[in-house]
Amino acid sequence: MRDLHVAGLTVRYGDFTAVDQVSFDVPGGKVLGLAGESGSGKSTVARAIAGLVRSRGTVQVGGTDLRRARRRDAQARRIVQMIFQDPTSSLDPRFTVRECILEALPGRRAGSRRSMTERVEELLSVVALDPAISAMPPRMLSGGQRQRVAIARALAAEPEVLIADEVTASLDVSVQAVVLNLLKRIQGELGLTMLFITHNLAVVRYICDDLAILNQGKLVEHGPAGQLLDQPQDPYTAALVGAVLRPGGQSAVNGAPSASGQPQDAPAVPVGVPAPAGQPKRSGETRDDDHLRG
Amino acid sequence: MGAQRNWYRSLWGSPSAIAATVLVGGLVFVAVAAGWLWGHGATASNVAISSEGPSAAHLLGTDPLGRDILDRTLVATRSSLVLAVLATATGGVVGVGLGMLSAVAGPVMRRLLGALISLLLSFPALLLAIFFAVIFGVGSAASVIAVGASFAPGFARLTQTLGASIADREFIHAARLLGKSRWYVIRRHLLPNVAEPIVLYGTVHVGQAILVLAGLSFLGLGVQLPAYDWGSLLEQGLARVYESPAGVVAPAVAIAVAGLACNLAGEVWADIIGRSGSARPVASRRTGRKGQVTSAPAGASGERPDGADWLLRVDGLRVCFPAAAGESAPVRDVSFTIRPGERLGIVGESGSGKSLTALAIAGLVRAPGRVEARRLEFLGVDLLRPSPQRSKVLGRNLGLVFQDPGGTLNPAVRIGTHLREPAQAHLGMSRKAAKARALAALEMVLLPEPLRRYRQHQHELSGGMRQRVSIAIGLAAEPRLLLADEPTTALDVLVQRDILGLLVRLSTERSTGLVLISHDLAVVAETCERAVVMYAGFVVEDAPVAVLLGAPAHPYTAALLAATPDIARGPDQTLPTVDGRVPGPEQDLAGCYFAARCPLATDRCRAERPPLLRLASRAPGGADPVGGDGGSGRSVACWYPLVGGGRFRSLTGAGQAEVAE
Repeated sequence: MRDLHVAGLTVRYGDFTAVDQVSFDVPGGKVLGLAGESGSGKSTVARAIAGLVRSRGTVQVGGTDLRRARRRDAQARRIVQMIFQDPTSSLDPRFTVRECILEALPGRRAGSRRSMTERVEELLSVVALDPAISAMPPRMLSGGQRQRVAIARALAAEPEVLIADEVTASLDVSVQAVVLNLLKRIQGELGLTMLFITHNLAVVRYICDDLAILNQGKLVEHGPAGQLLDQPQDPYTAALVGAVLRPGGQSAVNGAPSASGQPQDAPAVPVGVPAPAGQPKRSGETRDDDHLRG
Repeated sequence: MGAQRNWYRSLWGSPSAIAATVLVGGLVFVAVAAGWLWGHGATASNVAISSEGPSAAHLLGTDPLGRDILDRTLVATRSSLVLAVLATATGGVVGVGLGMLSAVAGPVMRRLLGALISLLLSFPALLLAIFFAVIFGVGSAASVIAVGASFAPGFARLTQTLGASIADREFIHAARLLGKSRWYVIRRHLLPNVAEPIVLYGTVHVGQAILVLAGLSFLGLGVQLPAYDWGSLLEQGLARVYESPAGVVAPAVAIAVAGLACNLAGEVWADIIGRSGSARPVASRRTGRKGQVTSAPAGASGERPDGADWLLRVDGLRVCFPAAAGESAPVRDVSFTIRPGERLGIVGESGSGKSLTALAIAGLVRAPGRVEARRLEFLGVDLLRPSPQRSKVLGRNLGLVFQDPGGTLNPAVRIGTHLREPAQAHLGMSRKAAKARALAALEMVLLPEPLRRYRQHQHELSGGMRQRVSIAIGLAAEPRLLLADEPTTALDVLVQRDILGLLVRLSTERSTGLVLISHDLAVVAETCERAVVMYAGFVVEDAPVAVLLGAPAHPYTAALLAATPDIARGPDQTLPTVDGRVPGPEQDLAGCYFAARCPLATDRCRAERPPLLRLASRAPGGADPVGGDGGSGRSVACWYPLVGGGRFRSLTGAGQAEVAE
């Protein structure tokens, strides 16, 4: 239950600043959602915290500076674990499910073979997978099952901080629900500090305590998830929230003039969406009639 | 079993495979056994028969010391092959090492190693070998090192390229996050994943090594007397080529045969690799030859639709592919109709057959695939049989938009050309008129600065602009129907909203029918008037969107809707989920394909498949068969449709299993 502290995180690729002075705190055992469009730098933030890309700024877990700790001891990398978007390329095709998880267990040499096997089976049952699949290669599993193996592998490393990077973006809706519920349950039971990265604001409320919005590498708004979604202060946040489609069909697309008035791609502040704080746009009063007419 | 049969087929299945197996087997046998069988004839000198021509006792004659040339050639097989394998292995080890290093190295080191490899690659292997032979001196060890060194850059480049493609994969990042060393990552993750192509490359290079080593020996830089290989035999033979041509033929033929054997072996090896890989015939996305199209011999045919003007009429569509055991049918039974100007959404998860349905309508199912239907008509033209009208009606009246606009547009062709050429070709317009029309199309999709975009290439546009262009292309011929397959899946939410709004507006303005295929109920809810829900290749429900979302009638629709996240729903809920997987396209079930996952399924569901029936508006159970005309009513393929909110709530509340513990 250690907290994650990020201050002044900056990532540059040549002249391009992908992440610009991003700072936030995630209290121990809480979930921070990090949302933004593609190119907003949200995945780069994740990779910088995990130490997979070079960055400047401070990244601390429970007061320990991660960069310094990693330099002393490669095992310090295990403190932060990531689950990636594409469950196919996040598992080595040459490994079996068992080997994928076994690889991540700490102190491989110390434990007996039997206790290792038990631990693998335990982790598989945590992610609700049948231990019988442990001898299979990933290609024989479905996307949702692969993603659950990836979660089991991350848990096997016994991390303090778990980063979920668009983990449901390549999954079907029904599988997405399974994986989201699973992550939520595991996070709660183990009290993990978690960073949940997504482009889909619709899933945020299910899993996140807090929410931070990134735009072009900069943090534009940060606060309790419910408050941010209901009363966005920043115009960009309001635009994002307003653009989320709802299965009830109540957002701003159908027949609304906002779309046709906006020739530019991803404008910073779409005209059709009200900037001031208040209820996010629900201009859908006549929508249902439209459907019925057809 | 299957694996064994594949191996057998790879080794004996084709003339080249048989030749490779026989040749390599023969070479290995000769290399091992020649010393015992012909060693005496090859070494015992007898001056009495010095430099004789071919005779019964010495088929290819003798050398100046009276040794049998054929025997010597056969015995030399071992040294030639062993040296070649050693040289290739040396090159392989050094090259793969260098390549791996550059795959895991930091950016500076990677650039340096890359430059070094490129530099070495620019010299021909024989030249490098000669250069190294000069450095390392003459002799067999030196020539092995020389040839190995000359092969190393090739191996290094291949490994570097393969390694780089793997090193960016997430499982490598995951291993790094576990604190694993570089050496561990190379050994456990990188090498096993690049091994196959490298071994293949090596097999072919053994043949080259034989050639280069023979060349070095021929030049006197390789194997030194009294040892000999094919190259030195060739040199000795050449000295007396006018007296006894046979002396040159034997080693020359041996070199050629060995080289051929290695190349053929490489081919067979590649074949084995190819078979073990997961190569499944799948319908081509967006390009492909027209498949074989047949009409199912069903009774229902002939009569015209009852009065209404249908744009597209799909009845009993089935798309199947030949599979290892029998047939695989990703689309099993799909029926729906669209009226002019109607916006229809097809919703389904992966494996539901929704995209293949679109391809079948557009006539883009690739050759081994078969399209069958009771009826498949577009504007009254039968799409099942190839005909001039069919090509014309598809070319002019059907527009297509796909998920990845970058893949639809040719990167080498300007945006304007994409738009202009079809109009010139199909409508016989002049260049000028076609250009004006193209610009109008770009304006229609609200692309800023159409004239500039007209001259640009696709890579200069953002994803949203590209999708606008492909919509402009799809609508350029003013089609009656636009088929859009996941047009916004690759786009951000803000862009998605604009594109969907554009589709709605254009279809309303020009009364173009729209079929929008999506995995996302919310997208269909925003865009369409009517939705068709697909599951495992079947249409399970067909209803006006508002009705469908308000009270889904099929348990699958209910489950899908319940699992779709809603930004407004409260934080304390978990999403209801359904256990199990969609039945695969090879499976052939008697009953309902959703029964295994359905909380309401009974024995009847498992035994008997429910047909797609029209639901009377407020009377559950009062269902009439609809066949292909969904019309404006509501149809569902379920024995126990959930009608009314009460059953729906009870289903999502209690019946759905959470993640199985």
